[in-house]
Amino acid sequence: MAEIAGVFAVSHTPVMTNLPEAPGAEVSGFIYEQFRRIGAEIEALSPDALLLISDDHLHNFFLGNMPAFCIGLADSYEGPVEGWLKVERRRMPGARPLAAHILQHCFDAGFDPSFSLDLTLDHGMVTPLELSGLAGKIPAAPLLVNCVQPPLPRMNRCIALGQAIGDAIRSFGELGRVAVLATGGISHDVGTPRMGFVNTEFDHEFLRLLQDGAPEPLAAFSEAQVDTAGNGAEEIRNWLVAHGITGCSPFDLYHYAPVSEWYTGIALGKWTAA
Amino acid sequence: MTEPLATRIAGPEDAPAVVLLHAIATSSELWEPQMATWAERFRVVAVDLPGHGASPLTQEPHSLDAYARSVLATMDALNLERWALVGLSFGSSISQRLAVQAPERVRALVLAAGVAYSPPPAQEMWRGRAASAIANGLGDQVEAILERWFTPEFRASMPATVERIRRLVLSTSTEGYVAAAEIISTLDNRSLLARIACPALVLAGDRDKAVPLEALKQIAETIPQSRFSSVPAAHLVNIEAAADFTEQVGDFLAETFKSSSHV
Repeated sequence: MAEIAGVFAVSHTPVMTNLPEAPGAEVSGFIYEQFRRIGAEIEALSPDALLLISDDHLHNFFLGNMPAFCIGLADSYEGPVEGWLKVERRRMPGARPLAAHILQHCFDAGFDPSFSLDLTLDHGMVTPLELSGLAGKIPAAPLLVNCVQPPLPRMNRCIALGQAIGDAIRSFGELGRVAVLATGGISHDVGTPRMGFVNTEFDHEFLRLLQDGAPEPLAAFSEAQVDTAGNGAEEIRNWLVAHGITGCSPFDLYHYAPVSEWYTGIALGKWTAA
Repeated sequence: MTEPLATRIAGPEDAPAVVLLHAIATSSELWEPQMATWAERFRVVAVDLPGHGASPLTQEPHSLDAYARSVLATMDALNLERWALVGLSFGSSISQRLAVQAPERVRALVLAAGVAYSPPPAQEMWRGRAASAIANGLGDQVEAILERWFTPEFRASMPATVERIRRLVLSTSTEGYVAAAEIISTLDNRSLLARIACPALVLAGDRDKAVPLEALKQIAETIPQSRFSSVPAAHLVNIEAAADFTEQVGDFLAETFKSSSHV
């Protein structure tokens, strides 16, 4: 049976690669070091596959078809889809058997995610992979969570789905080790007059609750307060899925910084147990 | 009672005094390229800041004010009434504070490659660096530090000099580094700059990624009697552009002493 070798989460934003020195080269350099640290830690775990959890930014899905959760079942993925993103486009190997097993297990466990054999990855997954030095190195199974177009899946549902996915990975007989990387900005606004405002109070409390681990207060706070942290903060759902995968173990925060110049609260870390 | 700090002193006793404050994770030894030249005409006092070089870490709480007071106590112990002050990076931040704390003592100010304020992401970065030093010592950070401090060209062409600085960083006590990093994480001298009354030279490395040129130009615009200049270097300007730095700063100090010699 597969082992969950490590579960990590990082913020993502396209400006991390497009405006690398906007927050000052020293600050961005320090944050890039944290990404490389996480990349090195994931590589050191020698995972056979990487489960990626992020959201689709209206590239694969649009208002005509907007799944709450979608698992990629392709043999490989191209990305980034954004021609304007300053990241080289490449094809990355997929982890289809793992994704197919997770999908089936989710149905058996009472969740009904959609699936796709044709996903192009966007900055949500590609930018963190690039910055952490992992792009294309580990076969990946992408899980896309709707954090963009309401109605959005409830926060506690994201944690519960994560718990089911954790069980799925642990019951998968074909692979030895699976790592998980969830990505999503915490406090941020996209395309609103508040763009660049980072609600540090929200971010600190969200991270504190993650560090504490208990799912109920975390889900309740997230549901009630996410509106105060900007429309982009809905991406904390990706973190919550990962939290569920770990069985809600405490999160170890490596670094947090409210980077207004990147329009986002940037946090990175690893769950203490998987 | 604030204890005096360790110093290294050179130059004639009756020459005008110049006090040198080094960057974080270095010591008075940082000024070695300037000492001999400046000692020809100045009484040079290079200070070991608390927790650096031969100076023990002062008692809690650590703050910019407390470090500035330690420098003042050191000059009291040396019976040096008035002096020019040259600060590099963290030393610049302390110098900004000291110039306002003791305007009657500071004749001139050189602020090299140092900011007046740490914005929130920089605050978190310095807290992160402090935490990393507590967990792993300075060994894990030294490579990144040297990358920030020097241009790639300088690192490639001057490996022996870079090695000397590496040793200097590694000889810094973790406690000294952490205390300084925590002070930098709360740095905010913005309201003080306009109150600096002495002549000032604000000096930047034109390829400094740690301290943006614009931030230093803004400091120069805020200090009433100041001018801005730059040398071709990354952050550790007195090492990478040693001769240029020695000449530019030396000239500025000599000029200032000449025009204020009646005081």
